[in-house]
Amino acid sequence: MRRAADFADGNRESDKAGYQQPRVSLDRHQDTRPEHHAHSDPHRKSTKQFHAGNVTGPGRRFNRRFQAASTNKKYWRPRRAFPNIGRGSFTGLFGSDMKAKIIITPKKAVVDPQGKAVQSALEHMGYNGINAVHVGKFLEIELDGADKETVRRQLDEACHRFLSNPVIEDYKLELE
Amino acid sequence: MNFAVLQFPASNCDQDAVHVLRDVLGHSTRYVWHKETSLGDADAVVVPGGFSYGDYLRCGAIARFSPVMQAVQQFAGGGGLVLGICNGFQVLCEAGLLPGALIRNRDLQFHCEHIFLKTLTTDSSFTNRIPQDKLLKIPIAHGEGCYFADEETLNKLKADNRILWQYCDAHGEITEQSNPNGSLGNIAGICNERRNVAGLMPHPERACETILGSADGCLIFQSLLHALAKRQTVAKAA
Repeated sequence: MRRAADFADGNRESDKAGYQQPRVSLDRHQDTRPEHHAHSDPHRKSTKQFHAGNVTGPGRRFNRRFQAASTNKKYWRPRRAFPNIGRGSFTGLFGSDMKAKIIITPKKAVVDPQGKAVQSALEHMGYNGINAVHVGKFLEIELDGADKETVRRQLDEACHRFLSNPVIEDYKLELE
Repeated sequence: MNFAVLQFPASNCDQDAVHVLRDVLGHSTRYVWHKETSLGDADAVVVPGGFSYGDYLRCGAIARFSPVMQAVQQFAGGGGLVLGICNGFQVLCEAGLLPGALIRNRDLQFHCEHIFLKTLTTDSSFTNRIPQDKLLKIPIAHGEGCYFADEETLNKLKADNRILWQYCDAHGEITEQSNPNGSLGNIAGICNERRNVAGLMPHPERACETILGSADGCLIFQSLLHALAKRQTVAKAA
């Protein structure tokens, strides 16, 4: 069994200075710039089709789609996961592969019942000396970009506007 | 009156809301799909409950960027009445139309039960027909309904009389035990500064007919109708 000392080494990154990204001038509640529409996936079928009552059998629907897929080019457009979030493209003229790692954790002032539950489970298992557990999210984003600073700026904005909620969460962005 | 009820992928209380507005209260109501960019001639908008976009990332985080929400932002900006119920409340908070955020319930459990609500002010378009001292018996059904806001925001909400509903026990006492999700200050519903946008975690649309165990939720919709009627008379007079 690992000893408690292994856990409580006081080395949590968030405890170090400079952990939070600077958040100047970007207030989501006052963001008056024109918004782009996210998630208007052109391939998604409206549920209205189901409400309309013209029930087509699953076989027919599948066949039609299947045939279309092999003949009709419009079904072959590659899907983008987040078509319209953020302004500008990540792809530059001399684009290179980059990877962004984003760690999102609940703010210290916010109750984190998940973290508390994990902490108490660890304690029940015999791992002593655990001061706090914070359960958050980890996002890995693969992207192309020419200028690292531009990409960082755009991702920082995406983190602030969408990927994290500044009311309850902090985030840390790493680019490599 | 014309009502618009939004529909996101995985909204599941939209039909309940339409049933109440159309069949119980008898007003013209239409669904507005999340890709639509206009709310049409709607006098008021209901953002219904559910699990929009699967609650991925955070509840309401993705729905907030859908085309229809841009129309709702404009509508609310122009003073239109917007009521967010459950997931709708989460969407409105994410959109910045209401302050604060809704996080995981204190006990990590999904709560599906009837609770009692105390109405703190009748000075809003959503509470004007609720008799004082009347406790509303309304169901809740959520896993992430713990209201959180920083202290400054909370103080401002209190000072401006913007906390519309609080969870209470059957006698109207605001107690820790009657708080189902750990919300700060037992907050169940709030409104914005202009008092035209409100959100609440409980489901008034599920408590509008006595056969459902309670018709108290109707008072909230009747308040909305009263406010709309008042607006129309003012508009006509002018």
